[in-house]
Amino acid sequence: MNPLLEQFLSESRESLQSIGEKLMQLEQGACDSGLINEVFRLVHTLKGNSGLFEFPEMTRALHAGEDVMDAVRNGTIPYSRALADNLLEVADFVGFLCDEIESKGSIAASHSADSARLAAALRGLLQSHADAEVVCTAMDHRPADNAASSESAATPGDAPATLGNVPEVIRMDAYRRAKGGESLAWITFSPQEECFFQGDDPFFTVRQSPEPLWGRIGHREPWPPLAELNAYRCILDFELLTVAQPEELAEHFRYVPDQVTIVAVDPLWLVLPQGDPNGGPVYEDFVADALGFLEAGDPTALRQAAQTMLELSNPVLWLSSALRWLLLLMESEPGNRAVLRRLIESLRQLTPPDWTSLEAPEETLSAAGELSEKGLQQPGDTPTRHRELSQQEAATLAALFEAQWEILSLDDEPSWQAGRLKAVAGVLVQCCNIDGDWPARGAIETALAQALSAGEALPLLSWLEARQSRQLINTIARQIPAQANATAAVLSESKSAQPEQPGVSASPNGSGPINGLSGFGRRAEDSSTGPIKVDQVKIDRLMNLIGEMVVSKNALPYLAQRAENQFGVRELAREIKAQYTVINRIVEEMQDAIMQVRMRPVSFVFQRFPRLVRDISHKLGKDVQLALEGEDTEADKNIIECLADPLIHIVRNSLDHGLETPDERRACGKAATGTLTIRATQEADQVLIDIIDDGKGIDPAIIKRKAYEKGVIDETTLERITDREAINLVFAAGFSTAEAVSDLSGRGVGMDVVRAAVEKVNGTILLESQVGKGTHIRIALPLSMAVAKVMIVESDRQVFGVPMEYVVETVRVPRDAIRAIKQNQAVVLRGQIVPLKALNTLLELPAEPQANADDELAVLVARVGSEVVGLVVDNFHETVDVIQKPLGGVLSGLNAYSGSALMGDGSVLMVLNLKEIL
Amino acid sequence: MKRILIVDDAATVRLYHRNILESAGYTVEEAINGIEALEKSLLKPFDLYLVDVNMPKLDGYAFLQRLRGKDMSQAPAIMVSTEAAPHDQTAAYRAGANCYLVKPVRPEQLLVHVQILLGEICS
Repeated sequence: MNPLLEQFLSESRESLQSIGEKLMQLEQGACDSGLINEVFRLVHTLKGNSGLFEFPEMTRALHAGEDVMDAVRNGTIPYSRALADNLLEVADFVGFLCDEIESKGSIAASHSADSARLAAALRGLLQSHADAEVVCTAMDHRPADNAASSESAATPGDAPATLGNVPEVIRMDAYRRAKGGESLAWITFSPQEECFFQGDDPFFTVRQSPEPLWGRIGHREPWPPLAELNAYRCILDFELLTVAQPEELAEHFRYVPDQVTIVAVDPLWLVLPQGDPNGGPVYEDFVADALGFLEAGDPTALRQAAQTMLELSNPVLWLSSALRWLLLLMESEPGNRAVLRRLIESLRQLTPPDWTSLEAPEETLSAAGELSEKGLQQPGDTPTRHRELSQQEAATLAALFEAQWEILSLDDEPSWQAGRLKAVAGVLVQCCNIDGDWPARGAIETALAQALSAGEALPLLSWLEARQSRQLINTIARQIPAQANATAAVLSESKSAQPEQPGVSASPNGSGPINGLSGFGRRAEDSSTGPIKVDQVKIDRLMNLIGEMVVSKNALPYLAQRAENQFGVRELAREIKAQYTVINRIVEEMQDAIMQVRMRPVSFVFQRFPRLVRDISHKLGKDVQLALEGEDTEADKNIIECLADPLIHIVRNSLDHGLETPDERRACGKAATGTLTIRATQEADQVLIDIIDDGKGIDPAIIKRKAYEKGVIDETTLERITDREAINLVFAAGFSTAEAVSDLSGRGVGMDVVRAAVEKVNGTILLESQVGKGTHIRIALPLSMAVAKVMIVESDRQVFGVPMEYVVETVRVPRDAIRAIKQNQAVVLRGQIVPLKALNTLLELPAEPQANADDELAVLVARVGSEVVGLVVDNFHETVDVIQKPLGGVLSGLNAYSGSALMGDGSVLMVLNLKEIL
Repeated sequence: MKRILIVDDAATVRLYHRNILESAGYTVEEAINGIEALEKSLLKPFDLYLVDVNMPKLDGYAFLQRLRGKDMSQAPAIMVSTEAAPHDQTAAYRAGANCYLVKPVRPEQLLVHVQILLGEICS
């Protein structure tokens, strides 16, 4: 896919996302003009972008959206839920088109109808609210034929009134061609007034239309006095008679189907005698004779009579025109007496024959049947174009730089050279100032002085080229390591250019290498400091490298120890240690910086909830207010991404099972509107996500019964289990409490999947609920997965790592403080009973825990899930940052360990999986 | 207040540009050909020139050449033309214009150029 299209798609998706969010916000709050403007701007930009490609379907729907938002913005129509629904539908549609473009590279023509339907729905809103008077005047301004053809949709059979403008010769030719089997079409095209600004060339469009026979340009309102004329407003109307196929025409006018009416022309409509009535109808004799011949079935006599009459009459007369048609009709359809009779009879009144009662109703061919839209566009309404000024400014700035470069590159030396150079220098100073490059002024003035004394532009040109290449290199350098090779190439190129630049003696074509870098004019734009997109893989690589760095720097203290103990050079040991602290600090900062790169705000996940909650609650007939808090809390990208699905599931559950319908809520004495709060907070090394609803809560009794019925728990557990433990049973595998499987949350995926997903990223999930009050689910996630802090403990002369997220505290417990409860041991810590387990026992190491000199045992208090357990070990060591690697190969079956980590001295640390061993 | 001279023989174009520039708060003066433009510039130079190409008596190129040649003004000049051909642009640059725009010039396009050339945008 070409990069422009890729850029377009990614930008469009962002815009759509943003539009969705803004609409949600609008729905919640009062009419905020800022938000409305923002939505308008987004829709407008999106429409403008889509116009760059051949996606008329997308453009059309967005255009309608833009018009509606513009009306909202101007206060013409109010913002409403129906409007939001329509706009959201358009956004979905466009998103869908984006997907299709991405997968197939184009949009199937079949979406045209959807696009038209969406556009019509939006314009319908515009119409229903529009000031009646405005519509009326707008309608008056429409050319008569439009009105006629619009009506013709309702009362088929009317020929376009302006068909008579077509000269008779051409009509006759058209008639013959139609009789020869070609299809005739009458096109009226009323371009939008602001079409010039959209880069449309209606004249060209019409000129290029296939197989035209005749065309006319008219104006849809009287021309104003010259002084008031706005030459950039298009008030032209086009009419066209063509023999092209309807499909061809639909294809040709595919970008402006709402401005075009295509009517299939019945050949008989062309039979419009015209001319001088010559004082009125006095042809009774001839009419009587002609009808007589017709009835008698004598075409030869009729033809002769007509020819004689024609020869006798002045060709400009109405009569002559009618006779010419009569002869033509007799030639092409001699058997069609009804037609001939009507034409002859028309001579009595000298009014064109009425063909409608003869023939089948006309057919309207307008591509997607959008005739009804015609009247809705208000020509007087020219929406103010809001553009991304900053973008335009950057582009203009770049263009101006380029223009000055071109001026300086001119090889002439006219008498006004000095003035020209001064003007260029002035412009360059301004441009540099705007670019934030204040010091450039001095350099430019020096270069100007040189240029003026030398009488040539070269010094200024050299300066400008040097500047532009610097800018280019800066831009590229920012993308290291993404394009390390490219940078190297450019750098070497610029090096080869370097010697030429400063010297005045350099040839005027010293710009060669710079010229070679195409896209000169875009450099200033490129150099703007914005976010750059980097491949995830590259960041992962950085992450791995820094991980290794963290570990290998830990080798330095060991080295220092060896230097002191083994080689006895204390001085060196101290220096190594000093150096280590420096490196340690840098590495830590570096690690932090790289982690920052990977950090994403949780809004990344949260942003989809307003829409989700809105849609689901609508579907369920519940009234729910969503409160999002702490959206800017950041966490590692992987973790955030893992969070998305569990969160959606929890939210669905809350909406489906937790929150009640407004009636139920009122019956319980609660506010009719339920509240769902999703809150993110950071606490130490963890990100906490709370999902709180004020629904009916979870009844532990029901959970217990269900769990027992499904065999999740046995009878003894059923009796023993606390309410708190009971509600957490929803996380057990194969548990679903929904009475009936609904299409929302009953997808066969239970909360156990949610728990698994959270635990996969070393997170924990906790549920609290009060019947009638609501439910509170808390997900605790680590900030980052890559580097783990572990505490090193020693047991039976071996060291093990314990992830710090489990560690509550480390205590020394006197041996006599340990109580035996049945077979288990426990200790009372600050009034709480903490069961004790010896690590040796858990790992089946045949050794007793070692006490220290004061007969105290080392107990590491750990929290696993909601349980607190004391782990009896021999000794505590320091905590270290390690890169935990999962166990591979034959070791992967060892559940007791969650992974291994390499220590600074090269030894391997086994990290315990407390969940498994406890 | 920055002063801008619109040099154009077409009243419509002058009015169009005047409306745009005045709405942005600039002081605008008009000249219907190069001669008049030179006369006005002699009285008091302008901060920016907006110059049409084809004009009777003295056309845009000749006007700019004299403006630059007599060292009357080093103010930036925007040349506005209906021709998008590259050689027209080069001719404009040759004559002393700093910027070349093709009609119709969109209001915001014009304003951005003017604002940048007059150094009125801060980055």
